Amino acid sequence: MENPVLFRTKSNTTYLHSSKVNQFLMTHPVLQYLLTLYKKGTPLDNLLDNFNNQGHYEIDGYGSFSKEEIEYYYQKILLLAENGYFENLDIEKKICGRLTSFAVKSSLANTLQVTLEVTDSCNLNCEYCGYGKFYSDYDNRENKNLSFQNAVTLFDYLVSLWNSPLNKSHGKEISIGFYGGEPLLNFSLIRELCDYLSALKLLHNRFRFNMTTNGLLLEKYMDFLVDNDFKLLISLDGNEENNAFRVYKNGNSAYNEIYRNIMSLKKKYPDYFEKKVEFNTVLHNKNSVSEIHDFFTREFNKLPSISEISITGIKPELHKEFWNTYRNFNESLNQAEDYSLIEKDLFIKVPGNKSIMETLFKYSGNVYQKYNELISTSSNQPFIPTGTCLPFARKVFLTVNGKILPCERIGQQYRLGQVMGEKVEINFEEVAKKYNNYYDKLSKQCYSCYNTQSCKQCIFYLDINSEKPICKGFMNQKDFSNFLAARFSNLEEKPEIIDKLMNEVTLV
Amino acid sequence: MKKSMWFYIEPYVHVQIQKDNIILYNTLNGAVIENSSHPGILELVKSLLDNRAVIELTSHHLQDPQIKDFVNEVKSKFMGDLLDSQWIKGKPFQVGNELKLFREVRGGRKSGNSLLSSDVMSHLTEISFYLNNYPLRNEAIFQNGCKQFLFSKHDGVGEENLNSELIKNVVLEAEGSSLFRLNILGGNLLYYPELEKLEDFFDSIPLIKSYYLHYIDILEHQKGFEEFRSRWCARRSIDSTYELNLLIHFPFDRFEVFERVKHLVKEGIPVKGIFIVQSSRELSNLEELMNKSGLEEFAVFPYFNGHNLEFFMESVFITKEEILEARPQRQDIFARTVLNQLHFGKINVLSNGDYYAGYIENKLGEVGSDSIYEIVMNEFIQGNCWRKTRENLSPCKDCLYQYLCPSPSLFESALGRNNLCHIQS
Repeated sequence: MENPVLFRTKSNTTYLHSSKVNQFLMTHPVLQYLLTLYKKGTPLDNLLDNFNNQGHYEIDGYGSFSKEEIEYYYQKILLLAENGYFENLDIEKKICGRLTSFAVKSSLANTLQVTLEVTDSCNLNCEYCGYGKFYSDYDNRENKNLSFQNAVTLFDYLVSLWNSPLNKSHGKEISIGFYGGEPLLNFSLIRELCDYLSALKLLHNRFRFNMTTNGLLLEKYMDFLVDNDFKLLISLDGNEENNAFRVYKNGNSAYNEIYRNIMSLKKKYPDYFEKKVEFNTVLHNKNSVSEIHDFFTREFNKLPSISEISITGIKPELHKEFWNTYRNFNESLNQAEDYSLIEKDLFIKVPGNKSIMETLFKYSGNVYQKYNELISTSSNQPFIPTGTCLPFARKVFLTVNGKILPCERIGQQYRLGQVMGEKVEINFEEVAKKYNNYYDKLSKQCYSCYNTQSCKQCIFYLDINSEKPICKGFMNQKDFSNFLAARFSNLEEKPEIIDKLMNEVTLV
Repeated sequence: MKKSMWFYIEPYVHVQIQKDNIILYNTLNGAVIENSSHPGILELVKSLLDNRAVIELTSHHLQDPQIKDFVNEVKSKFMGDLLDSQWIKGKPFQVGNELKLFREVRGGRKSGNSLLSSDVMSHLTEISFYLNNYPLRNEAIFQNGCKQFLFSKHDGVGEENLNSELIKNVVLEAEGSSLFRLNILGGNLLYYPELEKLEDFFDSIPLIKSYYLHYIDILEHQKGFEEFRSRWCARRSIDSTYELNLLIHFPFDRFEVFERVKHLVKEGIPVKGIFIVQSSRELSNLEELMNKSGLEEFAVFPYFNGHNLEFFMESVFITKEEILEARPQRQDIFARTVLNQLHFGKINVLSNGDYYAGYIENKLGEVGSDSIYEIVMNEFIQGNCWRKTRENLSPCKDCLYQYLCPSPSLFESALGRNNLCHIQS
């Protein structure tokens, strides 16, 4: 990876980034000019050759500079060179980390969340559903329910790990998520599991429950949810018109019933509603960021999470229809009349803002996550390539068919284990091997990618089982330069967001 | 129309204001600007710190000769620069010169136990086990040396041994942490009854095992050392993670000890000579002794015995020039603002099972009763040792060099003063 990378923002400021030193520097036009010569192949020793016999030198767009000024910036270049700013980064050494079976087991013993697909049935037929017509990468929906036995088998297995010395997440809540289909269609299992989990003895942790629901059965079960302090995520796309895709099997709109149930919950349990209820909205061609913002602030005084429709696993024959339905968050936000107000309100929910944070975190050298990153011995340790979460580090997902996956948002073909009756089968060695094989397939691209150190690319969103998968997040030097320019242009326009990001955001 | 310029300080420059005094330190070339007199410059630097190191200067500002000189000095020392505002539409952006640490626990800025707890063990890097504390030796260094550096502790009246099973449990509990080194000390660890058993366990873990033997230990228990030596030589072919530190303090004339460790050196086992000096005379004799030792690696530690302050002032106390010559890097300075670079991540376990951090002063718990997780979490949160910086120590707290200076060490504690320097009295 060559250094430095130069980039110019909308304001016409040029910056350099050195991945070797991990720093951004503003560059004076003369410095920039000399660096451009250097990057084109002029050796450092010969950089001043062009200026030897001239008293002044003209740089396009910036005016005339004296020989002394040019000599000064040449000395600055030498200082930067002495301090490693222009040394190439040996990225192969940095990302040579390998996943071990111990790391997989340890991740599972420290897992933050268990999500259960309690049923694959649903009482709605949302057009963009991840298990719907557009997608092909999931098991057939057969109105199956998760069995109590399978769930209990998994929990008994996990409890032995949570109570083991491998668990270093003492005092932390373990979140049990009930997911579907529509989870409340299998309410009896939810109740049984809540009772079962409440009786389990955890040495270092405690459980909390959460659920993603479409709200249709909310009225019926709200007392139970409130009694068990469930954190609720209700899926709703805005007003009645915005909800055009959230329909019953017969195609009729479900909006009125959902809205009535939500209002009923709000009225009966106002404190709970305020503290424990959140909304999730899918962006598409029947709503917009502006409408969503307006609806939720007006009706519930809340800001929803806004997701785009998943773009992976789309059936080729439905591409045209899919892209007609799909809307991009930033484009929709930019079209809003009250853009800045909405952006201020949504702030970290605006994808670009989080991305800025992550860029600064990885590439400025000023931002550290943990204390031990400040101790030099730890900063030199190799890391594992790609932006994929370590298996089970974030969560464990159990399907109605007993498949164990690292996440509900990836195709179910990527099973890492299986619950079979009273037995859990997870071969940690095999899981590590599988991931390392995936990394190996991408390694050549990673070695030449300029954004490797801040990679967000999940391997499961690529065609990773093909012989030569192509990384969608790959950046060559030019791409990376444009990527940094876009982020710094944004920061120049709205420098206040950096303080807000630094003070309010926690990276996990 | 007044011409304006963007004036900025480079992110590799450390900027600090203490009681109206200013220091700018260039981490790339060691250049320094200290200023304590001009209120206009103080305002300018404050403004830079408040604006992520970029401010607009007009020709009016630069009419003040002192500000003009300051700006020129900043530029000439490659600490910052001026950009003509006509070249740029809007204000350029700098991340700033300060550290941002997400999982900050200072001053109640805890980001919550849940965030800390998940990876608190990643902070653990080194455990020192004192296997025993006998035989009793009356010389004060055998009681107090361990409070200043890694040194044998001979204060036992009985035969107190740290149970090897407890050691094993602690190391296993720490699996998944950043632990990379175990220091093994006595008393005279050659008398430790489970030494071989412990080595068998250590063979199975890929950590550096760094043993400490005083030269008297070897001469006192020659048979034990011969067994120890032959085991290590045999082990060398299968495990290269063992190393020996030979402790020597003065007066010293038992050169035959070097003959005894020679076999280990021949086998390629790293043996480091650690010389403890208490006076300038001892320091001046070191070179000759090093040559005679036949060893290749050495470390020298001064020992404060209560009567040699003058030696410390002459040979240990540092000057501004020495601080700058050490050329602290940006990451060093960041680290020194929030943690103790010398002690962070290190835990001691004494032969009676007591846990301590770097300072053998504040007991953190007991092996067997408290898990290493709890010990690490408590020290991390309380930060008496791991996070001891110069921020709140007098007179360092008012010193411009507080973060350029190394983190507080055990010597400060032994001497009862925080500034081992000639900067301020």
